[in-house]
Amino acid sequence: MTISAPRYGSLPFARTERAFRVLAIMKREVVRRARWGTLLAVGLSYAIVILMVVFDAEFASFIGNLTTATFEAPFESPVWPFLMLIVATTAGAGTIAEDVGNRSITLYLSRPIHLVDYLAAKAAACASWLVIAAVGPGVVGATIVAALGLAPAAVCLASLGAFVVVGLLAAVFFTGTALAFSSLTNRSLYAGVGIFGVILSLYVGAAVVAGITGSVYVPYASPVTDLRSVALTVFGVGGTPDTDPLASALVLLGAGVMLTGFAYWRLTRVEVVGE
Amino acid sequence: MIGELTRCGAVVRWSFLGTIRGLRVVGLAAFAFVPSLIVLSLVSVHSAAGTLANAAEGLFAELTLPIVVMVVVLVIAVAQFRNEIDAETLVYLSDRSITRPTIVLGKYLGAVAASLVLVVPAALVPLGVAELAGGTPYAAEVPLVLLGAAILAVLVYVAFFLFLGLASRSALIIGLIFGFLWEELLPMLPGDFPRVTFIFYLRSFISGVVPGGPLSGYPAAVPVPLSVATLVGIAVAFVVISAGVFRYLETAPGRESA
Amino acid sequence: MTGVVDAEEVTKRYGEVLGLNGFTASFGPGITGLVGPNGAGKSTLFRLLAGQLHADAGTLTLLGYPAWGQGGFRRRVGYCPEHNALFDWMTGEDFVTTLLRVDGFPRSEARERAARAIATVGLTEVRHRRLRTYSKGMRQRIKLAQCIAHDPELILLDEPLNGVDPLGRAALTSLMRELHAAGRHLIVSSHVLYEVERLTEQIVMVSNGRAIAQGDLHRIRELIDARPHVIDLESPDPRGLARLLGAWDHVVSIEFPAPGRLRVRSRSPEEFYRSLPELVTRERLDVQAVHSADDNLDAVFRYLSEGLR
Repeated sequence: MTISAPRYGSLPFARTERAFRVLAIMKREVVRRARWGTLLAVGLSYAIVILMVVFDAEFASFIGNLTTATFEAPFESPVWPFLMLIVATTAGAGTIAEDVGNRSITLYLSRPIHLVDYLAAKAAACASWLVIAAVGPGVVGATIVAALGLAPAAVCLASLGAFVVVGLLAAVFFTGTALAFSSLTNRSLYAGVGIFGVILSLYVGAAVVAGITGSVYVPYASPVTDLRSVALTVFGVGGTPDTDPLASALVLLGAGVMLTGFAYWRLTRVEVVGE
Repeated sequence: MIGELTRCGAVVRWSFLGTIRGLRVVGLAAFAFVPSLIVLSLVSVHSAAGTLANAAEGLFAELTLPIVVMVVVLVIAVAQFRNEIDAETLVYLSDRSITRPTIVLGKYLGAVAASLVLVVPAALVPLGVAELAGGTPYAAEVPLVLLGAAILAVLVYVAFFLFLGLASRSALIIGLIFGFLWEELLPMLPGDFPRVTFIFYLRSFISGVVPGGPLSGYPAAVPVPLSVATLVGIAVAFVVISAGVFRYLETAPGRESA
Repeated sequence: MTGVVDAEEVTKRYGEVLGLNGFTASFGPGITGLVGPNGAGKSTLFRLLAGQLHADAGTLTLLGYPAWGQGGFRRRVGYCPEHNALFDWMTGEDFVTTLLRVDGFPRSEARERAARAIATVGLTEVRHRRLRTYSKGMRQRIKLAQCIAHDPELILLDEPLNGVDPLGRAALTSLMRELHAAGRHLIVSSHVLYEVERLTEQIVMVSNGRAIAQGDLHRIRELIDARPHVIDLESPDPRGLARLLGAWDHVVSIEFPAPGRLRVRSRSPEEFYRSLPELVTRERLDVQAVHSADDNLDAVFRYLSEGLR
């Protein structure tokens, strides 16, 4: 038995009904992805970022040098991108792969929904977890700093906004990456390892090649470098980032959208083969 | 004894052939080719011979060993048991007259063989490309030490991830945390923290053999023979532990059709 | 207990769900049918016998050996699991040969045995094809081939006729009888009762993780006293016949389900069958057919299951 993705013409349902269906699938997926790995990574993200933000703010306040740049510290650490990778893997690597592997995708697609609806729901669920992990800790940290009176409200608010910008960019990129890899296989193991391997290889490889060739374009190939450049700029840290922050932001957004588009293309070709 | 060897050999062959096939191995091979691809890209921009040589060695230390080997071995080793338990095909092995420890040994050896097929070229081809393009021959110990490090890395990581695949349904996440957090961050800490990682002994082995160049950048804190013995000992220990775990492991999934 | 397979108070839990609940039964030589509805515990029992699961309580032995454990005795056991998951990348021949090698057979002997087993199940022509190209029925047959290739003494077949077409079922049923004739012991599970009835009269019935009956099917039926036996008769004069049969003490009720037909419920079928010819001869009655409507596995199972509710 082979089922390919059905294509519907215009559906006789109101847009609101479609939106409710998408929400229902998204809710189910968010709960389904609340596994110990996701919760651990999110928990660590909160713990590390909040601790770094609060302690750095306290120290900077003590020496009278607290600015929005103080809040950028978590993005200097290699732990933050690693935690984002973990969340993308646990929340996203199996999101399509498991449905194809256990053939439950046939149940989804036998309903009167577009493939776009299915993908939108999956993307929204994965992005939800990434936003929780990427934006939430910074927001909480900045709020705690403001509540402790360590910094003026304006600085905390600006930092909060910076966390939202960087966090959302990271969420868009990693969501697209997770969906793309998940659509390539029917095993979440392979998708997860693929996400890790490719992102880390780009990081190391781009650094090596750029270091040797002196090329200013090669660093853009590393999403971790792009995120760091954007973070340095939005938080107002001095110095010259490795890449142009606006270009990096466009690269991350563009890559996220293209990878999601790739996942959609893969889904149009998925065949769930029975016995 | 001969009977057990026959059985073990059959499992090794089964495990090896079952791993080296399909799109999975194509993906892994493509990934293992990345270091070579990077060296080729440097050749294409006419980098100097010395730069190519250093880049090839540096890539082994920064990319091949900590990332490529980790990814390849994680996928291959975890899949040996975890995939078969999830797919309910392990029963065909476990209900035979072969002992469970022999199954573990056979799967381990098969996974090692399959991993080496992918990892050894990843370690040596960039050197070959750099040498051919730059014309500067390496000292004899460089390819040998990379080959040795690749083999030792495969031996110890396959054993550990094989154990993970048996012991946990979340082997992927634990493997990723171990491979990319534990093995990467702990070596950066002061004191004796690095000694609880495998990569510490791998880097000691490399630095201990190669006196100069990018590969000697790590402290040779442990003599080479001790590094080798420690890594082999850890591999053997995890294979034995895996055999013990598998002996008492239930290999059927939860109640789906009772 | 001295059966081929002995189970005593075997319990297996899946978290809060009981797969088997104090299961006690003895499977004798020959073919024994293990029958029960979905979720009764049949596959759980097979998984315990195959050494995939470990019982939480009780004892379970095959051929005198504990079920949980590896050892040479496993070469005397063949197991054909219910699910159809196989190593899709292998050819049929590869699959059976490799498993024989895992059992310790030398290469040449493994090849010969594999060829014989594959021929027995009628897959010789497709033995070089990858298992992923096999149909459901072919997968069932190749599973059977790997199960019998090493000439086991005891063969465990978990739903062997699942998904097999009628011709295939006939062939597999015939094969099972041949294996039995060759001296093998078979335990065959199914939830399709008439299939098991065609194979054997020795059954073990499972319901809710317990063995609710075991032994000869007809003997079990006789023991169900609470349910009078239903006997259908055909006669041109059903009412006349009914008047005479109604005088017997052991006849509980008489119905007329259709013109020319009579349905009698009797507490003593042996007495009924002994007395009926004499009655027909003496009264010169015209009885065209006599059929025992519930001396079958389906009715027995229904009565027993209902009795447990």
